[in-house]
Amino acid sequence: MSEANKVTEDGILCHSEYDIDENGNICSGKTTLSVKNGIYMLEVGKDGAIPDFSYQVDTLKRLSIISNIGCATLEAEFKDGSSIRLCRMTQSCVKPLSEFIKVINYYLETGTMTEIKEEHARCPRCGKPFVADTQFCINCADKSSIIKKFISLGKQHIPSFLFAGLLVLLCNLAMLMIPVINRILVDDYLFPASEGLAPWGEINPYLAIVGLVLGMFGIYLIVRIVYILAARIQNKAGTSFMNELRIKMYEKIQYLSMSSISRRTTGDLIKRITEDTAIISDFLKTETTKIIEVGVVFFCVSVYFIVTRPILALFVFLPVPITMFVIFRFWEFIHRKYERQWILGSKANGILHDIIKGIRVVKVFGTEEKEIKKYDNASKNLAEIQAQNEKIWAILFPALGFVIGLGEFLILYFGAWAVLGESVIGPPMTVGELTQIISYTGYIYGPLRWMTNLPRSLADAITSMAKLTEILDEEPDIKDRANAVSPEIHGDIEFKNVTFGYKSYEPVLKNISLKIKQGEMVGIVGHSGVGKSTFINLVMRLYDVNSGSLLIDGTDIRDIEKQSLNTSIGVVFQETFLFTGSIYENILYARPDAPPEDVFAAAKIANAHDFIIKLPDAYNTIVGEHGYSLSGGERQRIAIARAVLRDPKILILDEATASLDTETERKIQEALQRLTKGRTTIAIAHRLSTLRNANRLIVLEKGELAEYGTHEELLRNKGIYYNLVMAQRQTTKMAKVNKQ
Amino acid sequence: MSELQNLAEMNMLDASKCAFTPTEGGYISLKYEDKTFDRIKLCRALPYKTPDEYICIIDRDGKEVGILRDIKHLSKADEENVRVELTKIYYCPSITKIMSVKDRMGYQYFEVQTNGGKREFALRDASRNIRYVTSEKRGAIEIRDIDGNRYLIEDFDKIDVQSRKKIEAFLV
Repeated sequence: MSEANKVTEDGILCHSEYDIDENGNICSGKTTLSVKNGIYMLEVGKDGAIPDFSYQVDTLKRLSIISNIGCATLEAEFKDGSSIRLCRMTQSCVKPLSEFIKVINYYLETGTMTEIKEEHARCPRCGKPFVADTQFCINCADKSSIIKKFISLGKQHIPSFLFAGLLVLLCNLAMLMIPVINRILVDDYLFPASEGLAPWGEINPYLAIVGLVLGMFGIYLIVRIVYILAARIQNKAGTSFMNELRIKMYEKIQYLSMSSISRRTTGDLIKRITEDTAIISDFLKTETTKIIEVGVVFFCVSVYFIVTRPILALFVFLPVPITMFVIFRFWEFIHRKYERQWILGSKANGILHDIIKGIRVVKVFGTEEKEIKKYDNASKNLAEIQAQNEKIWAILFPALGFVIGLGEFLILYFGAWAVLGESVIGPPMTVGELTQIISYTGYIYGPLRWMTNLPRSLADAITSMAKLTEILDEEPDIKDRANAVSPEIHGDIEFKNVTFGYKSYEPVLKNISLKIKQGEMVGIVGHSGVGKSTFINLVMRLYDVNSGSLLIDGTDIRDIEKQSLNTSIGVVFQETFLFTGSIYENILYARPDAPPEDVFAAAKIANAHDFIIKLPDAYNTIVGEHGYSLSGGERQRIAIARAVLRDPKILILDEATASLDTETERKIQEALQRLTKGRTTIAIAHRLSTLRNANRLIVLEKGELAEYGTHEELLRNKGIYYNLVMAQRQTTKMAKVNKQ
Repeated sequence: MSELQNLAEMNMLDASKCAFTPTEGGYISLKYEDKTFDRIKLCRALPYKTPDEYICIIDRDGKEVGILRDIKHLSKADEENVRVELTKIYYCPSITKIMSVKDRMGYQYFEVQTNGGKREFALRDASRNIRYVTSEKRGAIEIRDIDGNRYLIEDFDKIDVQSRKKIEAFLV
């Protein structure tokens, strides 16, 4: 037993939960692994009750989780051949329970109890479910810690943001002076002048008016210029922060292991790099200064009202909670409506995309009318919701404007009385003061709508930050060990009791043990889904084995530096992927420092050179998306050239010629024969003739190694391989007869 | 049987010759004509449209034994045994009431009452994970949470108004 395992007083080593009882009701049950008097026990039962099942672990052969629909079952297989369904659980419990059974299964296979890593089905703090496949609870995630993390990520930009913030603050303070100047203008110069009272004494009133107007103009001008400056500083900082984030994310994703990449969709990853970083950057660029702006205005104006005219302050702030409430309330509703419009829009687009792409099928089956109706409906639904949304928009916002206007009416009404000397709102008021108050009222109402939207945009930004930190904080599970070596690889491969599954509780390869010698060509055959591609994924170390070990030249693959392994392995897949660029660049991808002669030689070996030089732009022909369209065989030969250029010690061919016609296959076979000479080659092929040059063949059946030997040996055995060969001969014969 | 069915060597089972028996360990076996298949697996071919019809029966090695046209054609006891086994494989609690839906940072947290008790779950992208089961956009609604659990509202028109209002906006 590992020392890391803590045993409680009642001998419990670890436990996991299940949540469906025998009648299909929700329950709270536990599977417990304990040790009593040196004997490991497995108990399964509901919380607080006597366990339904209690077994000595040593009587078990294996535990497994069988995936059903919407639930899963834990099953135990005993050494005497019997088995039993122990309990059922929802999908939420599957992952933690699979960790639990892994420990027991490992013990059953090896006799050693490993370190136990307990996982939770739900957040232990709030009981709410975790965000898919992580141990991250967005419900009680510490938002301030996420924000702090981002501040530390962008700390070099903090001075820029602070400086921009300071400029915005000064601008706003200056803007608050405009109504004050206005008041002086009205009260001291316009109205006294008309009444013949001249408080200005010696100063020429016209000169004073010119001075005040110029002062106002000056403030406006300076404020605008400073604003532009602040916005530029902020944009620059925001954009470069976004750029850094994008690059950091992209880098991180490049180094994540296949298992964590394939857990997410391509779209999800692309979205995180492009959209989430943009959301954060937009928030930083626009909302942060807006917060300062609104804060300053709200604070100063509120103080002004409360100090000078407390009753008027009441009128100003009266509509605020009402409008806040209405906007806040309706915002959610409107947001959902718009989201719906967006989804319906993308659905209608999806139909269009589908049908136009599949127009041949539609025409062949004569279902044009049905398809027209389908699109008609989608388009109609979209139009309906668009009309509804526009109606809401057209009604709600004018109505809100009206409510806000009510406050201004009240101020105007009572203010006018105060100007006329019959004030019910405190001391009498001058005309200038009234204009100042009305201007300030406008200042307060302006940002209201923005403020109601702030929680949402803040939440959006934090969600995006959480999504990014999830990736940035993820430790790649396949990484170089501290003592990793980079030996020269020769190509001996050995599987030692290897078990692997993409989900640890669903092993795809079970207990595989075999040796492939340096320079040997080995073919892998078997029905679809038996684990052929998984086998080579392990050799390429896209995934690490769950148990057992995979040795390259006698060294555990996990102890070899990834870089050194990568340069020694070449792969040709069935689905050839050519990057957008020239043919030359695509071949060069395997070894960027290769001289042109090597590239041509590689293309020659791959039987690609002849067709390439016949293209008008020869090796400079642009391929990939929007590029020159090559046939499947041509693309495949470029991919082979790429593998050849790498000069790998281990060559992997995954259905490299499956989708080609016989003539092209023959050409490629020739190319491959030249290529495989002296290299360890592992080839997967459905067409058994493709493997006629293989030294030995691996036959997989249900994830296990069913047969391993030469073509002749396997034929003599009359097992699975024999049947496959006979079945294919039959098909070929039939095809020949049909041709005649 | 149509020519196509003959060609496909479809094996539609004769319900009167089927005997389903629960076996030790919580499994089910099928005795058909004179053959016994232990630990069989049942699989609904049309789980939403006709959950009681077209049940594929698969043996321990993953080979199809045959298809049962309708479980109601079986004897009462056999029908019950098949139903019990199906509930073990298909788990999709029916929602009888939606207590609350709260949006928290782009995730919708649901609190619902189901025929199997109270449940709490979370959805991401609610508009994609709450959907009508059939393309007619009426009747049953399926909800899939972030863990991949499924929930069913058997008839959207029959659930109480308050519950309906809570998810109406997500339905496209």
